[in-house]
Amino acid sequence: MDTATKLKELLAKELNLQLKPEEITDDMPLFGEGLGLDSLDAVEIVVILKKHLGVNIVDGEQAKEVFVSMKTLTDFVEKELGKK
Amino acid sequence: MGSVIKEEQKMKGIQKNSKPETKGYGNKLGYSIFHFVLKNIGLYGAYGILLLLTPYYVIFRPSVYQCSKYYLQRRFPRDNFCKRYLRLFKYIYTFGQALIDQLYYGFVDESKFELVFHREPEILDLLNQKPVIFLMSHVGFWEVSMAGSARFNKTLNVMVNKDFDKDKRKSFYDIKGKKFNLINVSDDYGGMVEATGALLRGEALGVTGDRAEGWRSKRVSFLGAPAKFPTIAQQLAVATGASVIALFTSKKGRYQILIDWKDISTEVLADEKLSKDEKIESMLHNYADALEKHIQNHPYLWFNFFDFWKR
Repeated sequence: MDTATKLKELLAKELNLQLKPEEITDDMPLFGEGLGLDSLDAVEIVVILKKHLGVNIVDGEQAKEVFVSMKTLTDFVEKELGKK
Repeated sequence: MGSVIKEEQKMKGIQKNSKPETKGYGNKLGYSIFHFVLKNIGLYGAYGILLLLTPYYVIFRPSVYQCSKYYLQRRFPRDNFCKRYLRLFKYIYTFGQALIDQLYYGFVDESKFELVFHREPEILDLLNQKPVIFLMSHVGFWEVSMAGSARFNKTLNVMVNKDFDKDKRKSFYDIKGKKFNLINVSDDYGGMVEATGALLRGEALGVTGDRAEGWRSKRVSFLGAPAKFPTIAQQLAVATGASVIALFTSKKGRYQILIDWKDISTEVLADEKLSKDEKIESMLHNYADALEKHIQNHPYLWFNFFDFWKR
């Protein structure tokens, strides 16, 4: 399973999203319009990344860059996992 | 944006026991007078001035009654006109005392005060087992309670809002060489990323539990009617598995500050039958019950000046 698919499955399950993993597109914004997440969901994402992938988000500034869309999140995780 | 404000460097050069800055935190002249009196006469001199000033605020400043009535009328619903004003006097005087105590502790001489944590070995056990969220309430000497937790061998992070003036309160968060990381909730994601990171690293976090403004919140029964409480601590606990410890302060004698605490999370988090939302709600009920119990015992020590029950 590639990183993007794994992330979509994790987010859909752990955040109880209305969308199915396959309905989440790569360019979909995570916050506001798109997945419609809020700051408390950011908590869940930080925990999911740490717990399931061993990836850390350092601070809000980094999160702002990483949490733009599924693509930015996937790119970040892949980079952290050394897949790129 | 830099959410976690690393205070170490910024605080360099600021001397302890320096004069507090007063922007937005009371009248400048008033603070200067109280600071002078505390340094040169002592605590009871400042209380004496407060005693002379309190009738002015109670009688000639209608806004003082307006913002105090929401809580006092709930706590003392059967009061007649005279009793209501007597209570208001005591409430405002006690509030003034708490501000003076905090001024004294933070800017004059913290060593005069003795902070006593109830059941300290138990709280130490908890801190050694897992990350802890200290849930602060506007009860008594609330900032001192967080500062008092500096005695524990844990890195401490405190969530503060955009109005927080780090210089003004630096002494509370720079106790005996132990620095606090201040997390600004006005930053991206409300400081939640930094707060989560701190808990995942096993650190402690301080957050206010009785101000819902700007936070995701839920209503639970409090003093006989539903009141809106923020769920930030409970959400963080469910996500990270951290314990939530509610801190409540009271005072004994002139210089002893007692810090009582209640673990509102351990049993709830261990209950596998509960969903995430049920856990959050259950911890919220535990907190509201503990706060209400403390207020029953110390009715003049909860400094609530807005309509907590407003729909």
